[in-house]
Amino acid sequence: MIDIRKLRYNYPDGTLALDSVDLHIGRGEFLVIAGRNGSGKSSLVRHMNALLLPSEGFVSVNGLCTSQKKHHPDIRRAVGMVFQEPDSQFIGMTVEEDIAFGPENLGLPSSRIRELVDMSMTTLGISGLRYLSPRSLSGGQKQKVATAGVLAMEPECVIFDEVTSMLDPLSRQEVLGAIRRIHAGGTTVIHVTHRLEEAVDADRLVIMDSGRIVADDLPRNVFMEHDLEGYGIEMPVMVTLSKMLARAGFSGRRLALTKEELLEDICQLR
Amino acid sequence: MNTLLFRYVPGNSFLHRLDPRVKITGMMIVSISIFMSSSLRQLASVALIFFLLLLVSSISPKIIFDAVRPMLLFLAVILILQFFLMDGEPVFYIMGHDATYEGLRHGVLLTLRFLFLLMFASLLTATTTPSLVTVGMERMLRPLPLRKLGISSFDLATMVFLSLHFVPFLYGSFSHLRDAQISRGLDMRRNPFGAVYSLSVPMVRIAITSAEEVAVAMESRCYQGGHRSSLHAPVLQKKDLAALLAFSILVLALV
Repeated sequence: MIDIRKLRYNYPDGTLALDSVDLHIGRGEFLVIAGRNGSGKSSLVRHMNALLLPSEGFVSVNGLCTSQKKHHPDIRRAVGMVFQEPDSQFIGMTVEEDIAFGPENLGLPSSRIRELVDMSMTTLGISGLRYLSPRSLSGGQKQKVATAGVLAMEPECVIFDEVTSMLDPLSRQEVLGAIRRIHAGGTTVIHVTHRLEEAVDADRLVIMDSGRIVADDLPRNVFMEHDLEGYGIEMPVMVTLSKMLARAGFSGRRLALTKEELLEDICQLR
Repeated sequence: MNTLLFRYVPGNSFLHRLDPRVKITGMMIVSISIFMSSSLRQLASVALIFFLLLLVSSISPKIIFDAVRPMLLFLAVILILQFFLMDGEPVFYIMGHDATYEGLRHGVLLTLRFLFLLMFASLLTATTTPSLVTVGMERMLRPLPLRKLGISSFDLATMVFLSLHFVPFLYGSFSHLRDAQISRGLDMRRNPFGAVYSLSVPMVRIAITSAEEVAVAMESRCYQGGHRSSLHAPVLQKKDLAALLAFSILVLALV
């Protein structure tokens, strides 16, 4: 669905943000992109929504090249993006109107816009917030509203750019639950984060460092084969515990990614 | 953040259900009447019309007061300047300046005009969602030959919509900024000019940054300028036209 070849991007001040990035994302995948601050994660995903254009190389969505401006409406309809800071992306003064903003831009009839707004509010479980100001909501609710605004455009792929980084643990779990539901509905999901706990049930984990992709594999393989702390990101607690147990001689049958897997391994050791 | 500023208050009153074009036209009629008012008696009639509408709208007076409150200082400055800068029969002297009876009268009239304009505008936004205001404006502007000027009714309506969007946002940002500066030792009473500098420079930066962020968010949600549809599809009904006619007669008769 998304094809990136030899992508290189320089910021306007000349700083290199992305260097020779190759990435292919298939339809229906759940991809997590992780890396320390400034590693190029956000710059990379902004190319997928045509918000940034390559300095060199090629980015295409459904075969449409992002360098051609005429393709931007189709690309942005296919690939929606939810940003880290929800306050900066609200356009409407009520939740309902904010969610309707995207479908309104697509020129859909009023009845269809209402259907899409209702559908995305139901999916995110925010129907009760319809007439409230998005700015008056909690952090988790704001991210759900921002996500609903993207879902209402019926995208094939949704990019979540560090949407959980400013949330409390409960709100984070709620938003992650919403992301999983969206993926379960058949939508391609690209989740950018620096918390690797959020990558354990992904189809693929991509690690970025200094504008390059340094790992791209199943999360379990990435955790086993790479020294992620060297890239400035923390291993999930369960993976660290599993590795410590293995070093102490209590080796399970495989690297545990979740507390359920770790518990299972410990029970087998008894 | 004070989200009460020019906010929409959900409701199902007669005023809430009126077509936005009727409400915008009514706002234009009452604005002209306010600016043409030259006596306190006429402004008292405007006040009577406002309170009648407030009663019909079921909006709490507190919502209107919250919307007007940030402008009270500005209105007070207008009143004081008029009081001292207009020639006429002196009432008293301060630091070599005459405060005149004519100045007081003009100041009160001017201040009340601004106050009523703000009150009617806040009543409009409290009973009409910004999206409906935008749709109403767009439909009213559509017959005009704006294309010849290189703009469309959709672009103009979006500009108004974004302005409405930014009022509470910038006010909220200002409140946060003021608190942050006070917590770092800013004394607004002792050093008012320093305070203006400490607040205005970051506010300009916040406004520009926010505008850029909103532009990116709009672009990523397929905003291209030009034609857009709307969640709301208002249909002008007989009751809307009757309400506009009744309101126009009321304004002409009283003001």
